[in-house]
Amino acid sequence: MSYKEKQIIMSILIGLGIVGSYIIFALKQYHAGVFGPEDYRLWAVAILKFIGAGVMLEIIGQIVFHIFLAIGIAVREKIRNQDMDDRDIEKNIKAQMVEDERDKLISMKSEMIVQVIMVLGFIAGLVTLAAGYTPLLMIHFVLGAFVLGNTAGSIIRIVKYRMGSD
Amino acid sequence: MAAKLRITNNIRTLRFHHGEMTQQQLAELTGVSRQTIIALEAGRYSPSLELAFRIAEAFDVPLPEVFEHKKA
Repeated sequence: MSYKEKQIIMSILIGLGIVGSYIIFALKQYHAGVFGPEDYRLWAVAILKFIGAGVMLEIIGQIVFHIFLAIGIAVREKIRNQDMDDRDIEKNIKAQMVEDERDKLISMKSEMIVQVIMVLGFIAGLVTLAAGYTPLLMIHFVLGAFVLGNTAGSIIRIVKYRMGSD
Repeated sequence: MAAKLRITNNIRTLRFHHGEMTQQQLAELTGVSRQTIIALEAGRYSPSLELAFRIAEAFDVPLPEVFEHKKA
């Protein structure tokens, strides 16, 4: 499994962790009667907090991931060749983390899928609003499309790394 | 509509003829990741014109010696 694939899988796991936590939180608040279907401000604040936590976790996760990756490469190279000096190891670490035209192409193709899913989620949300449902449902449709879009985009990236990017 | 072109390459052979150049060495010479070289050799990725020229330059051969195309 390449460096990029591991990085994407880690992002998916963090994203799913945050979504799972939000679902548990939202259901608890709703059933306890703390957040009602008309308490838009409370829901908005809670969603913003979860988005903030997600961004923070993603940043921390990326830093920890890169530290462990660098340690892993250094240990592996030292075991393979004990005469290897620090400069060679550093060069090897940098080589593993190169981002090139194929990465950009794969990112661009997956972004197109992400955008389509987000737009569809927004339209689905508008339909629920037009049908007379609570705006809370629309907010969650948009949020769900955002999460689903990003997860689908990440999965497509992994598939393209594995199967080919043409 | 124009027929799709199937692009093949001789990168593996050229690496062999250049002192068993490793994929990592070629990746460093051309400024891409080793995974991209692996994908190229396996025919899972068609490079940009710029990368194609850089690969040809790394082997010091003209472009048609590295890449060939056939109508699918």
